[in-house]
Amino acid sequence: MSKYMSQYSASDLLGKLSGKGVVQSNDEDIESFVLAQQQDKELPLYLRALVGVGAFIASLCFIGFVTIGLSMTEEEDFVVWGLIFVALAIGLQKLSGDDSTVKSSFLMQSSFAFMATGKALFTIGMTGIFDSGWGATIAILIITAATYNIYRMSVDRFLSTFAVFFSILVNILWDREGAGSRELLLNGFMVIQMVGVAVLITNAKIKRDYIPLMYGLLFSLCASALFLASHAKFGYWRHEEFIDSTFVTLLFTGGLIASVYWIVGGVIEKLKSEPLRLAFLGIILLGLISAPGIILSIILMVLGYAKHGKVMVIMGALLVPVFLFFYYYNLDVSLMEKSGVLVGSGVALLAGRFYIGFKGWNKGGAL
Amino acid sequence: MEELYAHGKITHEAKEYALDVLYPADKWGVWTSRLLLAIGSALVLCGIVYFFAFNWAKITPLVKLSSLQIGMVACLIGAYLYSLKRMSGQILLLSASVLTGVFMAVFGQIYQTGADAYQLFMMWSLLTLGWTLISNFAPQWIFWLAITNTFLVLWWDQGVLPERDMEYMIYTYLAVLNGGALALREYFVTDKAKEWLQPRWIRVLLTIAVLLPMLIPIVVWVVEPSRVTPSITTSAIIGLVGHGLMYAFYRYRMQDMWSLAAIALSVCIIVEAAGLKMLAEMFDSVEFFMFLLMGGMTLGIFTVAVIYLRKLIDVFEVDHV
Repeated sequence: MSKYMSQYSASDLLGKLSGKGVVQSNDEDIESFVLAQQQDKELPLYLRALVGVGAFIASLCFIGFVTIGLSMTEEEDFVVWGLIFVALAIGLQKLSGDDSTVKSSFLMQSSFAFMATGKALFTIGMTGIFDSGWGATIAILIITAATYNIYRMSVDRFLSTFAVFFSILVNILWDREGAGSRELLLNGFMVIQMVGVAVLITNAKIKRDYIPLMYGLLFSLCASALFLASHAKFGYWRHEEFIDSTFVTLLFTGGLIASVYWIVGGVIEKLKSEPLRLAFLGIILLGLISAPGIILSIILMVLGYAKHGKVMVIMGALLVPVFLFFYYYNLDVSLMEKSGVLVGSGVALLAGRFYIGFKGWNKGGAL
Repeated sequence: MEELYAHGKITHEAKEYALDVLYPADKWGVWTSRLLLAIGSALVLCGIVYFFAFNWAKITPLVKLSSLQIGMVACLIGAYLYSLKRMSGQILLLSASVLTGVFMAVFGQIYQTGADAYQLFMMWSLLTLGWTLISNFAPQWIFWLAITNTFLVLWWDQGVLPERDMEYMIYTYLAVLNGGALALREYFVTDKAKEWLQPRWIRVLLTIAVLLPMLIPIVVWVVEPSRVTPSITTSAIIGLVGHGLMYAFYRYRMQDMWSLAAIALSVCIIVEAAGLKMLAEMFDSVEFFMFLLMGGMTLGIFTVAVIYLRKLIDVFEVDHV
């Protein structure tokens, strides 16, 4: 997908802007701002993944060491040792610095492993103390909120925030205490996630420290949609309740319309153009056939494309076939009708594609 | 641009102009058009597969075979008319490849000969090889490789029926097949006429497809030496040599950090497996100490990998932001 995105370096773009006369050439203020933005010491994605895998294995070993070696049985012991490991992790990170020396890399790796160990032990302990699934949520929330601004590692921030939202989702869908009001709770949770994602994506004043939080929310939103697409009933043991996805469908449909509105810069005149009117018609049709997962995938791809966010585009592209599978699998029609619906909807999309070509919108001036 | 605007460094007009430059309107048209083509084609093909899979008894053999053949021929004619330089033509060719497999499955079920499943995949692979060679379309190649990998695995299991001593040779064959594809990709990628080979995902996917079959026999070789057979030893040695060759290639010939990171991860897993095996045997009776050492060792192994890769980044002077 990246092939179709415009690729410009910062200096190319500034050159174009000064050529147009909308900024002064060699504007030192802008150049120093761009340079400051680019001097982020964050590791490349593949190194973060490598650090993550190593820290994950090491943290499992440390949990084994602490649990067996200290013969821990009381929940309070888990909490205390969890906090000790978290404190050690923060200390090690301060010591590690930003360079790429052996010492720095080892301390950074150890720090991440200790943080994962500490958070896991703290959560295990608190879950035991509260004797409830919500105890885990509260524990992860507390430890994540306490360390988010102190512990500046994006992998940890992303995983921790995702863990918070995912544990809320699991509790809403399966915890005993949510019985009778699961649908209401889930809908409320979806609204909060959507609002959170919308604010973090569209507000340019949000610091880049909160990008991991945005991805944590996005992944949690996808997990919520996946659960909703794959199951109709949720609960514990035999106390399962049907959850209607109508509200979520409306929410995502509105989200996609709002995304398009945001992308065209909120210019009402642009919304009246034929391509966008057709796009809105398509979105409403998707909403009418109740395909929330497919709509969410499209939101991800559209926003990812607009913001040059490859992760979002890839997430959306990977989720499309999954949600399509669930959608057609769950259709309450005969298999013969199902194959007809599949072919029919495919032909409709291809017809849309040919219409775009016929109108020449794939050659310029679509928006 | 958004951050520059938010911090008052540029005007609204400058931001709007920059966004127009970055996100030209025509790209949205192309993007939407291609999305509709990809999903639409996938749905139509799924619908056809569904139709034949679930309405089997109600359709006569003549209708089954002729409709599929008409579909295949129509796709091929469409691919010819659109030309393989356009995505429409390429998608039609990929559709013809899918329909070839469906046709063979249907044919096999009508005229049941008791043939093994690997023969279907073998014929599917052979029949689609010709147009895959001229397709200039990465998804077509990946699809063909998936079919051929499946054929190899099934052939090994159903056709060759290897003795226990030879079981693990399949990993070598898979590594050679996927390695060959990766080597071809790297050989032709600099050719300006083969721009379709350039997207990084092709290299990443093929690298993983080569590393996995090389890694498995090595790990078995390390972890369970008592179970080692000649095929495990052979595949493990070939795997180690393969790791070395891939490292040398992506380190010195075609510098690529993503591939080197994947190779580093694979090597870390091998060293980790050896270390865990050794520690588990040495400290069997003092488990807590074993866990502590394992944790420390893991940190050490992955730290070395990270340090090495960070040094390579400096050497390559690649911008990975």
